[in-house]
Amino acid sequence: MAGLLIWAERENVAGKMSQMEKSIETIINVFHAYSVRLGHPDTLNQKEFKQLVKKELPNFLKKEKKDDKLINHILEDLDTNGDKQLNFEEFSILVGRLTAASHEEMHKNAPPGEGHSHGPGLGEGGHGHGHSHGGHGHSHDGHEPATNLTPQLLRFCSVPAQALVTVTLLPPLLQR
Amino acid sequence: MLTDLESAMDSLIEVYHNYSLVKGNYHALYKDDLKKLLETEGPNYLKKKDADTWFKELDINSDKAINFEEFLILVIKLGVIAHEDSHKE
Repeated sequence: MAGLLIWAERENVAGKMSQMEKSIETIINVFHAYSVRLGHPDTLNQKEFKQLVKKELPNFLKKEKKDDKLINHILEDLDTNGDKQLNFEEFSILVGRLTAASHEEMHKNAPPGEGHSHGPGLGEGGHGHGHSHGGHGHSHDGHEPATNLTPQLLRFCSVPAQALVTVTLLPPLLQR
Repeated sequence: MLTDLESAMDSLIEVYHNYSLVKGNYHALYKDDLKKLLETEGPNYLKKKDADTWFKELDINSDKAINFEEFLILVIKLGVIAHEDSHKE
């Protein structure tokens, strides 16, 4: 852990982390904040994963966070090496799936029209965070309520057989 | 209110679009777009693997562009490297 702190501190002091590096650092720091609590300090056991889902993913896993069975099911699905724990690699797959789900939600909530635009992402419905990219797209939304996320999240989190390309591609690709 | 973790994921979506919307298809990072992204967002990750190599590795469907799903594979790989590095020092 000491090494970890020095690493994080060095990057922060340097003050030149990019947006992508900051996002990745946040993901790693949140993982470690829970993984160190019990048992192996660099893996999430069932209890730690449950705590993380409830505290850190309350909007992205709105329905799942209330259902311990569903949370356990997500863990089992992600636990590709079958050790009943999630290491960082396995946890990353969840991050990838949720990011894909949020992106999909942004497009579902995007206003119709030419160009590229996004509506609110996962868990943001009705908060007016929609935004448009690019000079020629147009966007004026952010007010549509979030649709029921269940089918989408089921696809990304609970039903590997129906998974999108992301889900099927990721695990083999991780074997560097 | 999104948590830091949730915001970090949405932020990654923004990073992708900052480069993918420059030209052509809205969800395509062409070779030079990916190079720009890596040089700007993660120059450290170009030390062991150059941008062309990353491109070949990520363009799974060989359509000469990195779509959003292929970008997520990059994010996961970089995350795994960064996580390993976090334990090295």
